[in-house]
Amino acid sequence: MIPMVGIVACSGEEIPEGTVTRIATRIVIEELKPTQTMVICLPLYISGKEDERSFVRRQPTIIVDGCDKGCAEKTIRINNGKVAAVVRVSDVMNECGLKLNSKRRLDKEGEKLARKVAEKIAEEVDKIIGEMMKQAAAKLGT
Amino acid sequence: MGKKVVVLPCSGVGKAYGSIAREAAFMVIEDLKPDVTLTVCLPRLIVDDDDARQFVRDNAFIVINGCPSRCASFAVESAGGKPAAAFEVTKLLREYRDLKPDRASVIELDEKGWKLAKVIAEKVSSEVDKILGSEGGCS
Repeated sequence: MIPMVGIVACSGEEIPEGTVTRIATRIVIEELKPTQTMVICLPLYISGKEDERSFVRRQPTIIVDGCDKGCAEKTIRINNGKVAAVVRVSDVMNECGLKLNSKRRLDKEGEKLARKVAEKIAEEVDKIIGEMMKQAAAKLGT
Repeated sequence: MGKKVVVLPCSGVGKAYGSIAREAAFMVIEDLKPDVTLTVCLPRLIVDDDDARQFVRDNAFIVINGCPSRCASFAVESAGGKPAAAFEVTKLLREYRDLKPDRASVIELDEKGWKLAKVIAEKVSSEVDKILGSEGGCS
């Protein structure tokens, strides 16, 4: 199995945190971990698209939720997806004291927060891939 | 407060079409019809959230789907509603072939993507007027 991690963003439009989940996810898949991650389109997953569903059944997934309602996590868990880690924007905001002002487009502070969230996701990717490699090596008896 | 129309984009993160749907929705709710429209988180309609379900039953929805999978429509229907109007970015692209966006422009739309979002926003805005007009002013 090729080590690949799925990233699911809530992308909720009611709150600015949802916009951060979008941007952070794209930073990870385009810039930080382009060969080890794949974006899972949550609306497609919700509507039952088999490609998204089967990926999340087979491969570990990192959930990026905007708030403590945890809609993306709930959705994946309800459908027996493999949740390997959860990154919540509201938690990162509390940790680093950054604030959000607009839900449509991020300002400088919002961009900084998106970058922090992306780095958290990338750290989780490293942990998960490391664990997958360890398990693969153990199977081969090396 | 008068009744409002909910504009729900799919907001898919995988392709530019979701970003166009999202941007069109914001053009309507923030620029064109700020007093009579709003949006809601799509995943909230799917998880077991009673408030969201009630919200779907109580309000008119216009959905903007990015692709033929019609995810935004599906979300409204799953929550027990029926969209009053539905748009699909990929379908509209057949009408506006010269506005095909760069598929990679997901975070920041390219110029064609912006133009297409504007076209869609204007269509959605007309539907808002129709819905509110047919409801007799919705006071």
